Order: sequence, then structure tokens, then C-alpha cells
Amino acid sequence: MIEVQHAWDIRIVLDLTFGGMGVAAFIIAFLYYLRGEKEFNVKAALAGMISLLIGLLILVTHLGKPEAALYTVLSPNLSSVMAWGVFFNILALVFGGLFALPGLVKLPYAGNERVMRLLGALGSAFSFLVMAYTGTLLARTSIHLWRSPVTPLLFILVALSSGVGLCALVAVALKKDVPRELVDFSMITTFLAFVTMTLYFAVADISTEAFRYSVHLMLSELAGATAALYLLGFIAPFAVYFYNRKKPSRTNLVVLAVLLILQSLLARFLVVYAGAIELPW
Amino acid sequence: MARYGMVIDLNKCVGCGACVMACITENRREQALKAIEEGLQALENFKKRTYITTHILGTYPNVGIVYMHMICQHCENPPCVSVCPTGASYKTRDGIVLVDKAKCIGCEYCVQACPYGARFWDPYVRAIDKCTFCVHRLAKGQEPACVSTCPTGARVFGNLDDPGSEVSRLVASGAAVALKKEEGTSPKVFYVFPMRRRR
Repeated sequence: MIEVQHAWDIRIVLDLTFGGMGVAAFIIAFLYYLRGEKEFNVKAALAGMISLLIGLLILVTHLGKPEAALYTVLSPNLSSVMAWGVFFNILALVFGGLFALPGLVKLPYAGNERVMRLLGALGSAFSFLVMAYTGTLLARTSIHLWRSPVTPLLFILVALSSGVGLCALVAVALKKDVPRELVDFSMITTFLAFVTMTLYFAVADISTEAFRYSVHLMLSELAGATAALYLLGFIAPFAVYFYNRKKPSRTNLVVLAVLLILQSLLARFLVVYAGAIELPW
Repeated sequence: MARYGMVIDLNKCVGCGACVMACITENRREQALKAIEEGLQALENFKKRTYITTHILGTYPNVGIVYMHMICQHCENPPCVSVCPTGASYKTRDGIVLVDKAKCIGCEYCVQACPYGARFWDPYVRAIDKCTFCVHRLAKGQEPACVSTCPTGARVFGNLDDPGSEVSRLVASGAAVALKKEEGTSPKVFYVFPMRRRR
């Protein structure tokens, strides 16, 4: 008997989307901070940390017993991906938050470049671990669609796409230029995410029954989301990107940024909701 | 120290459901009463630690019926234990996989990790629930409720490390097999599958 998973719902999708987007935006902002533009990138990093925090707050609402969440710190099971994820999230929030807070309030260490660089580097390292964790979390289950090296890779790629999207939105809001190479980079991640996502369909024939069922779900009950992902998440960003190269405008950049964030949301939604398990009963 | 296991002989099962009712009475009586009070919807959603699915095999006139038993497999390498972020899921020295309900945060990661779908969120006790092999009865020298209730002796329970026990003999005979071996979980619940009926 094959059963579609119901334990994880839209709140997990939102947590992974906001979390992945936030940490990717933080890493991008820190890399540009190192290249010179300080004030704006600290604000972009702050937006990333706020996104991560929103994701975590949504996750807490999914927990059946959130008041017991302290046990993840008090008695962590170090063989659990989720336990590591909790630490990565906390450390990314602490170091990333300390790096980004001067974008909101005046803090004594903000003028000390060495301290800021150290905080940013630590924040970025743990942010990358959070980004990798969002897919690995799903890969360590009995759901065959998720249990694939492709899943963490796809989640890293869509996180990077959405991270560029968030940085672009902050730049437009603060009337700053969005670096050309950053937009180019989002097209590379979009293309790679398209290839990675398509791999699920390409290998379905030679996979397990549960995997095939999940792919069947993507093409039947979830066909709307699949079509939306390919049209809005993969094809439309390229169309807007090339259009923007001909006629650059801030509106184009905002549309592109929203589409990149949508790409991450739809890809995660599809993978989570198509999860199915083959039971021996 | 024992290594508890169970053999379920599907040839002997008549599908009466006494094991399911015995389990509810022994372990989830309060929750069942609350579900009854709440009405039909709650009863439909009421999860069981063990349940039976009916499978009709073959085509007329060679038709057979098999009752398959879902129960926690108390794996030697339980994936539910390795993914639990708080250590709420754990394995005892007797090899029984249990849940410390106080430590359970309700993330349902173990539900996703279990290849047998044996775990579920219990909204009444606000923790993950599953078969415990009636560990409280074992402490008193009794067998699990489902085993002692079964009218045909389809469920056999005992120490797998004791070569003289019935479970050990059944497993050693090769008649009882584990499910989803490819998962590498080494389950301690074994099944004797129905023999093909001769014409």
C-alpha cells in the first residue's frame, strides 16, 4: 500500500522556503559587504535574518508540543539531522543577527571592521549549513522521493535563487542598484534547479514504486503546482531576465525577484506534498 | 537481558480484530473514550498502535483472504530513534523501541522516518505514540495484550536470544520473515506468510 505523507504540511514548506531564502540572502549580502558596499549589505543581511526568523516561527507553530522544544538543546540527539539543524539555525541567527543588527540600531562594534568580518564569516558558514540542512532533513526519511542526493542539491539551488530575489527586493526598496552578475548568477541557479527538478521525472521509470507514485502525483493531483513551477519558477524568470537586458527597469527586477522566490516556494511545495511512502500492509 | 521479538502467523489469523481491541483497551482506553465523546469524525481519525488490513488474493474460484498486521517492528536499527532531535525516541536494553512523551516535541520527523508507518501523533497525550510491546505488562511477567488475547495464537512473543523460545524456533526455521529487509532496519517482528492453497 502506498500512502501520501500527511505529517508535514504547508508550514514546513514555508519554514524551509523562508529559512533557505534568508540564509542565502545573508551569504550573498556578506559577500558583497566584503567587496565594499557596507551599509546597504548590512541591511540586506538583516532582511535575510528576519526571513530566517519568520521561517523558524512558522516551524514552531507546526510542532505538536512547542513548549518541549528546549529539549532539542538540553538533550540533543547528535545522530539526528534535525538536532544539527537546530544548532545551525541558532548559530546562524546569533552570528548573523549580530552582524546584521547594526543595520537597525547603533551598536559599539559596528565600526570595528575585524569584528564585523568575523561575525559575517561565522554567520555565513552557519547559514550555508542551514541551507544544506533544509534538503538533508527531507533526505533522511523513508519517503523515496525525498531520499535522494538530488533533494539537498535542489533545495540549495532554489535557496540561492530566492536569496538573490530577496537581495534584489531590498535593493529596489532602498533605491540601490542590483549588481548585474548577481542577476546572472540567479539564472545559473534557476537553470540548474530546472535540471535537478527534471531529474526526478527522468529517473522515475527506474525507481521504486513509491518514487514513481510521487512523480505520478506531481503529474496528476499536483499538476497545477508542477505547471506553475515550470512556467513561473523556471521559464518566466528567463523571459523577464532577457526582457530586462533589452529594456532595464526596476519593475522588471521586482517581477524577477518575486518569480525567483516563487521558484523556491513551488519547488519545495511540490517535493513535500508529493512525498509518498510504500507500506508493507 | 532479553531481545524481545514477535512472530505473526498470517495462516492462523482469522481477522477477528481482538488484538486491535485488546491493544486499545490496554494502552489507549482514555483516548478512545475521549474520541467516542467527540463523535464520529474523531473516531474515524482515531489512530491505533496495531491494526489489520484485509487482502483478497487470486481470482474466482481460487480466492484467498489474508489479514495483514501493522505493528511497530521494534527494529534493531530504528530510523525513528536516529532522527529524533531530542532523544525522545529510544531503544531499551531489551530492544524495545519506546517514546519518552515528556521529551517529544511533536515534530513528526520519526513518522516520516519509519518505513512501516507505525508511528502517529496522538493529540490526546500530545506526543508520538506507537506499540510498546506492552512493556508495562512485560515488567509484570505478562505477555503483550494482543498476544494473550489472540484466540488462534497467531501472535507469538518471546526472547529471540533464547534458542528454546517459540519465536526463536519459528525465525530459525525460515518460515517467519522480516519485512522491508532492504531498509537495513533489522525488524524484530516476523511474519509467516500464507501458504498457497493446493487445488
